[in-house]
Amino acid sequence: MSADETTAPDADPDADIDRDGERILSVEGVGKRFSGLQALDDVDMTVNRGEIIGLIGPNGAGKTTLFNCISGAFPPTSGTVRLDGEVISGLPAHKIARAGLARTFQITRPLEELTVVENAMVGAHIHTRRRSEAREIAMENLEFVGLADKAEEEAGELTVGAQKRLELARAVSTRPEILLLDEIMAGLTPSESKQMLDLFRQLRERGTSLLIIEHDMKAIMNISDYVKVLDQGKGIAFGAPETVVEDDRVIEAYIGGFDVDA
Amino acid sequence: MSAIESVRDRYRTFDDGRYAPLVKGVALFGLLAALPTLIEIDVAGMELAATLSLRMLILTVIYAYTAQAWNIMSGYTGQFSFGHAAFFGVGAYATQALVVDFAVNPWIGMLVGGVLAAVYGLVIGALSFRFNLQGHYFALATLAFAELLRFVVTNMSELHGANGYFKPFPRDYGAEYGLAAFQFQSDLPYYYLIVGFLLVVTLVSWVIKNSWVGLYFFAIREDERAAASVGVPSFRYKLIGVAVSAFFTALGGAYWSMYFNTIRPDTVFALFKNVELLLPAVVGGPGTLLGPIVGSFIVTPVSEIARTTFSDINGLDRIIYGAFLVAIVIYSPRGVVSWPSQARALWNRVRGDEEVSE
Repeated sequence: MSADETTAPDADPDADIDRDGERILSVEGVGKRFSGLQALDDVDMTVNRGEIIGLIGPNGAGKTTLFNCISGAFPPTSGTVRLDGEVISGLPAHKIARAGLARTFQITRPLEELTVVENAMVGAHIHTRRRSEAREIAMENLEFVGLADKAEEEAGELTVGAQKRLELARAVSTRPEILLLDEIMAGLTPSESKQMLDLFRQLRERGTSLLIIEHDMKAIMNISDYVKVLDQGKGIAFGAPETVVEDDRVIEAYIGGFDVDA
Repeated sequence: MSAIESVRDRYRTFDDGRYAPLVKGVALFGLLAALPTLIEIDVAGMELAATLSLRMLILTVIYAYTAQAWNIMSGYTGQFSFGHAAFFGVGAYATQALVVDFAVNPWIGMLVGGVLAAVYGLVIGALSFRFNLQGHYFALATLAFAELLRFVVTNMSELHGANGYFKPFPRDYGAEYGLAAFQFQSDLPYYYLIVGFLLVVTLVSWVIKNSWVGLYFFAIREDERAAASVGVPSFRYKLIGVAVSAFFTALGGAYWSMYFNTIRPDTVFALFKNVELLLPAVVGGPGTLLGPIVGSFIVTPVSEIARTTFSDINGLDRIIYGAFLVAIVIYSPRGVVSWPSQARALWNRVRGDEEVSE
């Protein structure tokens, strides 16, 4: 590979840039192996309070796998994940949720036969066993995402766009410190996407950190404070959106295919 | 506004009200309490009692009760048990073994049976859930655990083997006929007792459904991974569901053993008992409060009448059970209690179409 001017080829792409703030999430040398396939290889990254971090990379780069390792869907095979300094890697998903990390799913997973408000209440019950309190928290968050008028409808009846917002409301009802959003804007209309970006900004103002997987480059470059790029399970770049798009490795990963040595 | 619409609006206002569950419950159990009298009323020269005996009502309420208990685990948490005969049989056997062999009061025997069944349920649950058995595999595992007990009990001389137990007289355990002895000299008190059992398990179900526990149960049923992602400890709550359900099913078995004269491994642990215990809930509407009760009033009398009327056709009642099961699973998986709301939706659609076409 030809050396480029901005980044030395052997520089650690995961090396953190100096940035202020309280560390919420740190992923340290995380690897995940599925019998023979190294899906993630020694990935490092951090998220501070109130930051919006975009996680991008070509298909199969390991973005969702990283989400699953962080949120406890399955444990990483190596490395450590810390939330507020406490090790959470290896804990089951429900404990990680209770520690303050919530997520949404790439393919929405509504609790179909429950009503919209009950879906959000399941999240709210992390904080209270009282149904009336859980309902209040749930309704606040349904109003936040604009689903309050559908509160009593069955979640399975919602449109895709509404299901995405319900996923967000359910996750936010746990009052997380950090939210992992897996392609929550995929399949939304342009105006719905715009509303979603607006919700992200409001969440950030409340002090919630966001880690976002998204394919819409324009949206992610627009909203993210920093962008982390994965390719074939490795972290290849981290930085402000405008510097990352000019990174040779990122360009290569995305355009990919051609032989650089030729 | 038509008269029907105004009545419907009033019903809705009532239905949203605070006392609606209480009023509905009182109405339902009032009806159940009045049933023995109602079936004897002579309508145009025909008495319902001619076909619907008190004994049949008792049987119907027993299965409404056990279906309500099954529902807590399988209807609410979605972990489909095909082996509730295990818990039913443990309740029946614990009661009879303690009453006959140790002259213990049947009420105490019943509670011991309930606790033993809950422990057995926890063992089954812990093993199955730890190894992540789901759907058909879980149902088959529960069936295997029930069949296991049938074989073990049949071969245990300490539990009288295949002969089972013959219910003793109250004086054999130092009691008189009556509530304390769990034995009566007529069927009517037995009927009110099982209605009382049904009331208790229905109240427990209502409390569960209206608390965070019920919401967690339903979340687990709908999507365990999504539930876990917002903090639902699914392993623990599935075990709670199994234990509560097993406990109450065992009390049903204890009642059975104190109402009928004998219990044997091939009656209380019977393979077919598994079906009888769950079918009313599936037919009536799994996951609902009313479903198991309504379902039992549909399924049990029909199969009992068929069995007694065509007693020469062996197994007809089972064929009828099978037909119910197939029909419901294919055409109405949400059960009979969902029919009114489905009819209403259909009606609204038809009317909506008319308005559009006008």
